[in-house]
Amino acid sequence: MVSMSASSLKSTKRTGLFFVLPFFLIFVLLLIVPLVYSGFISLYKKGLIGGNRYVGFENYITMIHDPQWVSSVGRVFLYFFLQVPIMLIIAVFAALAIDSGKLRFPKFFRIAIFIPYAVPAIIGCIIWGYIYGKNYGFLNQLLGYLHIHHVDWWGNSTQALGSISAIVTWEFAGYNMIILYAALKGLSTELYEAAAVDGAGAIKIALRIKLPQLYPAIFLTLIFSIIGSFQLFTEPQTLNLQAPTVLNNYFSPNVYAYSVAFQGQQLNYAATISFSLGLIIAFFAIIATLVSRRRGGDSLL
Amino acid sequence: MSSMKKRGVVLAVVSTLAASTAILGLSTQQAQAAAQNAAVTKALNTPTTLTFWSWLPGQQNEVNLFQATYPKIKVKLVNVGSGGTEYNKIKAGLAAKSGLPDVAQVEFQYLPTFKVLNGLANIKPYVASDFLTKFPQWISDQVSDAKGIYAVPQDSGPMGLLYRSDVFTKLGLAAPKTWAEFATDAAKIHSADASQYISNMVMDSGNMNGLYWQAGARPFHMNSATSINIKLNDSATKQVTKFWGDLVAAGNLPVDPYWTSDWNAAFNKGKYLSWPSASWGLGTVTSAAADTSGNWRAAPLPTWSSTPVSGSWGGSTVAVMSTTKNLAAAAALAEFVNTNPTAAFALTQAPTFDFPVMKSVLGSDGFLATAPAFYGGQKVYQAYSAYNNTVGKNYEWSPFQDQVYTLWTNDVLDAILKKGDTAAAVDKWQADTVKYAKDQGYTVTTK
Repeated sequence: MVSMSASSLKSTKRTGLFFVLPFFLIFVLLLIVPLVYSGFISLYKKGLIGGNRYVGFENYITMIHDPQWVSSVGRVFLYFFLQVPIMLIIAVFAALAIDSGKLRFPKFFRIAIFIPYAVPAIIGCIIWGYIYGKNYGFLNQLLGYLHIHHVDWWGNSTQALGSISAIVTWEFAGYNMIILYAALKGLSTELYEAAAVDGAGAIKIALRIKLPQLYPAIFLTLIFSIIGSFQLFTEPQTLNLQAPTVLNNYFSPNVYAYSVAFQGQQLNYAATISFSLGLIIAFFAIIATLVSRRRGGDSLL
Repeated sequence: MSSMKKRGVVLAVVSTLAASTAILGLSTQQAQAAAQNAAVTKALNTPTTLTFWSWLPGQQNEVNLFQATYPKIKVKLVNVGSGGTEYNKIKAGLAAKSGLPDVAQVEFQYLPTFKVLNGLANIKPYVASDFLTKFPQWISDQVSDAKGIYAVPQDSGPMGLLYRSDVFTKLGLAAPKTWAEFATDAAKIHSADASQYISNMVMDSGNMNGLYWQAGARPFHMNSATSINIKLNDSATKQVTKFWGDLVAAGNLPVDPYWTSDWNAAFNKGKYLSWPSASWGLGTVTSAAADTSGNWRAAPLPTWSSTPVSGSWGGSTVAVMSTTKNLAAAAALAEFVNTNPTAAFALTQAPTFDFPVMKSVLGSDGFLATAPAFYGGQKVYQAYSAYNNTVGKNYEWSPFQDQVYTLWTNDVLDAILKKGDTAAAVDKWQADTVKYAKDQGYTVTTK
């Protein structure tokens, strides 16, 4: 190839810019601007009485000493360690099983596992609200037929985390499975053939050859899951009526920010909570990236 | 701009008229009313589209009536969610100064909240001059102040006790007259059949607030625009809280969440034999417990002393948002759907079942004669009209009522469900509310 002249390089650059511009504009308008704005208003305080005033980091200091905020963050941590491993193990297992070629009706399974992701989260929550119903819910009626005493699926906040984990796993295992499955489809099949010639069975190929090559994709799903877990909102918010004191207004940082903003009329404090949550998520995403790099993993990010 | 100019001209003409008619014995007030009517008439003859947020079942009927009367006006009625869901959207809209409807349903208890947020338009210049006298004093006081009128009352929620007379009779019980009887009956009912309870625990903050109201609690008073008196932990509130806490601790009440399909099913299957509820609860139970039709009756709320007294829960208004660009037409819509005689009566019938606030409807035979088969032909509205007359007066709402309710759930309801110290919980509710009010810039007194 002939080396490019300076001017053609410049025009290529310009063409590139043209292609990223739509994304970049939306990115700036819908992400960077609100981010900067919420960081900005988190330094102010405006009450129902009295005007807007600059308070520096006062809102952040209040937040660190706010037991409800601390409990909400603690809860999403617990939730992350409870829910994400289960969901990703299911997703990896499903992707490997469908890719193994040993499954009958692989297309059916692929769609069946993925379909909950296509159900709007609110609708999903309404369905699960019925399933978890206290007296006449699906699960408790089932237990009733087996003469087992009713379970209060929202009995306390740890139980509630378990119940929510099941919902989110149902919603997102399929989504993660598709990412992993796509990654598997991208792998070179020569290695499998060689392994098969050497006498390796489907399970051995999955565990020894596919799984190690799947790490970058698993890491990607892990990053998505960190973000998703810390931003837990729709499920506790929608199901709040099922257990008002357990799925309360500080069940997760996002639920708390919403309540503080719209029930409490403390928009500045809500911005503080949201902005901090962004920082926390970024921090853990970076930690996860560093850990994966140290392990020699080749990140997709 | 041009419409402003025209209105100016009209006003000028009218004021000239006023000056001249004063001599002829017409008061300036009447002349002003004529000017107001002119502005409204003009607005109603100008093609306009109004957006109206409401979650009231059947509200479309009254809107249709309005559109038939004023064909130039198109009304887009939208249900954006009930109660808090709608309010959060209004608050977001007020913060963003956009995206708000012209007219919205707002409960009485949230009027001070939206007033302090400058969300409500003053509609006094556009409504009938005898507007406030159409409602009982305690209702009109809640929508107006010295300067203006901020909402049109729609319905109120006087409380009574809805109960299963068939099961009560079978157990040899009558509707409890006092709360002490209610507690005794609670134990009898549950021991007679472990699957049935006198009622569900009062899990809803507004429902419990009505019972505090009945017991005499008057937690809020605005000393001035920036100073509020907060007294949530008075003896009445502590007494009521302890009463329900004790019933739960004794195992005589289930603690099922409200407003779920499960809760509806529990009514239908006879798990709860009564519900201390507002007038609109008549409709709620009717749709929840179809299988028990004919077996329900209304009785007065049990009392703490021998004096009959009730509380109130819910009750709505229709308010014009301060951001509207069609103030006159919006005010006309709000006024029409609630005070036009045909519309106001329609509100009391299926599927709405609103308890009216207009004196003319309250006293009308058609309303009082309503005798639903679900309630065994009892003239339930006649009954609730009697309870309505005993609702404790002079109740004031805080300008941050949803925060007060959220804190009640976190502090008081949580303690009841955990069988904790209810008095300490009520004190914590008071402390948390005071802390919040101070943080919002209010001067707080706690008398």
